[in-house]
Amino acid sequence: MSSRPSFYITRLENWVDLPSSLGTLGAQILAGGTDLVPNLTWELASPTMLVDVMGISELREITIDAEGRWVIGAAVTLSDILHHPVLGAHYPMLVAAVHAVATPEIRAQATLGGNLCVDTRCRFRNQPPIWRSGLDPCFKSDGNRCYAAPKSRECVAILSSDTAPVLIALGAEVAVGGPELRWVEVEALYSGDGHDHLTLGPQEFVRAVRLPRVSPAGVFRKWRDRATMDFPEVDVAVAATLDEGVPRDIRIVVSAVGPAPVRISAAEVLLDSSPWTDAQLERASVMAREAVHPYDNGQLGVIGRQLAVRSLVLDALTALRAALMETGGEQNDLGGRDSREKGQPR
Amino acid sequence: MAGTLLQLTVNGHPQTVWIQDKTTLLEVLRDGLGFTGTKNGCAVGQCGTCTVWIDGVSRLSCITLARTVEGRTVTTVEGLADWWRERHPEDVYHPLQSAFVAEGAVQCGFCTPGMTMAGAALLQEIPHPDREEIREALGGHLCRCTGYEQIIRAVAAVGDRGKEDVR
Ligand SMILES: Cc1cc2nc3c(=O)[nH]c(=O)nc-3n(C[C@H](O)[C@H](O)[C@H](O)COP(=O)(O)OP(=O)(O)OC[C@H]3O[C@@H](n4cnc5c(N)ncnc54)[C@H](O)[C@@H]3O)c2cc1C
Ligand code: SF4
Ligand code: FES
Ligand code: FES
Repeated sequence: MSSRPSFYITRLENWVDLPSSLGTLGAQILAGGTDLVPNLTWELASPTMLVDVMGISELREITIDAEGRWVIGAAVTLSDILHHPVLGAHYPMLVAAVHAVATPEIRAQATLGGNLCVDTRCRFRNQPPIWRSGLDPCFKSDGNRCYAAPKSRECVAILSSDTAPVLIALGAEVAVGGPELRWVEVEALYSGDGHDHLTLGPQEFVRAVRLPRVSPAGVFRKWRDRATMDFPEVDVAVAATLDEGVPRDIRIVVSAVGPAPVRISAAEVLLDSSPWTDAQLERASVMAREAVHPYDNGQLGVIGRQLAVRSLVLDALTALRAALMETGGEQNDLGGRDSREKGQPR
Repeated sequence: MAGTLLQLTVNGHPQTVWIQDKTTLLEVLRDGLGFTGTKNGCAVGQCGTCTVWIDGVSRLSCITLARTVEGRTVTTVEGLADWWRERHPEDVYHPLQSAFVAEGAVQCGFCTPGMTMAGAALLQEIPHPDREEIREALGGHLCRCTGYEQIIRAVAAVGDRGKEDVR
């Protein structure tokens, strides 16, 4: 038997009981457990009570609200999303990201809420106890150093959620349950500190994810070692909506390069105000590379990951341009908002 | 002590085991009930050797806490042939087990229980899977011996039988 520390499991059937259960010292949510259980086995987490939410039916529903927006409960499994009869046709980018998470067996168990809240990872820490016994504890293990970024004063472990960048690009919102319900943009869920990477209060939890009524066009790209099962080394999600031939609401998100997804605002502004020529897309991708600073805590090296940011952003934007031009019709080249110049023809 | 009695059905037989809340299904199967056909390759979800069916769905027993499968039905590699024979009394083994032998898909055999459980689950869902579907279904399963090709061929061979669906 493993030396996993002991804990109790409490299974809830009503989400109303969640805040008080989570208020117990040492309590932590157990959803699919595909992230948490490996962390328990490797003694990377030490809760005293796990609050099993898989029996809460409200959290397991996919519904449409009064305003026609899809709402996905936090405990809906990734395979439920993939098998949903219509959701995928409306949000193909979300399906691409969900499908890119782990393996079929894991997706049958893993949930969307668990994916958004998945613990940050680092090659200096996500190792068996015997491997780690050779190193003094780092920030994330309540020590006072970081091996990945020795000059950093906080943990820079990686957020490897594949759905987070996509949901940010789509403009999705999260219902945060707790003593009071609040809706936040997905971006606001992340603190930027790898040790304590979520902005949820002690009694708060992710209740549901709400998608925009009409999905923007979007493209997701994931770079990793083994395409069948590895965590991302770089994730890129880009999205835009075509308005009279002009792309609007452009979102360019790079993730898995630090504790929180990064929006490349400079590149978003650039592509909002100028035509989508090859040269502009190239410039946007260079801006992305300059805006993110991966540390040496992934499986693949820093330089490779930096280069991957550039090439994935370029590839994703090129594919997005093609998709937008298709929906905009043959005559619509993509012009910038201000210039209204002719864009790059096909 | 965070201990309780767990009831579940394994390979058609009801079982009651004393477990701690921290016990995984893999530990119950191997250490508690002696179903050692299910292997512990990595214990953290990265290799697929611990794959069993939970209510017919292929799942990793090493990352499943036993308490969360209270009352459920588990099928391990030891129960695969029986499960098949209930539907096809004329056979001795599940056709995928025979195909693994015929195609040379077993070398050291450590990955085989997980591979067969995942492959048989795929054949349930998609009776005639193409190569891509097989690769996708086995994507979470590592094999350090065969180079995968023979394993893919074994699953494909069962799918190719054409006569009846493997259900
Ligand atoms: C081999 C392997 C490969 C993997 N590959 C990937 C990958 O490529 N991409 C990827 O993104 N992930 C990957 N994962 C990690 C994990 O499987 C997924 O992120 C999964 O979606 C986590 O969901 P879960 O329901 O299993 O979460 P759990 O393990 O149950 O929970 C994860 C964390 O989130 C918290 N939590 C869960 N639900 C909520 C909620 N509703 N509100 C607040 N907190 C909550 C838990 O307390 C825990 O800290 C991989 C895992 C393994 C073992
Ligand atoms: S990024 Fe630094 S502090 Fe965080 S887990 Fe890695 S080594 Fe530890
Ligand atoms: S032992 Fe379960 S996946 Fe390796
Ligand atoms: S046959 Fe040895 S690991 Fe697959």
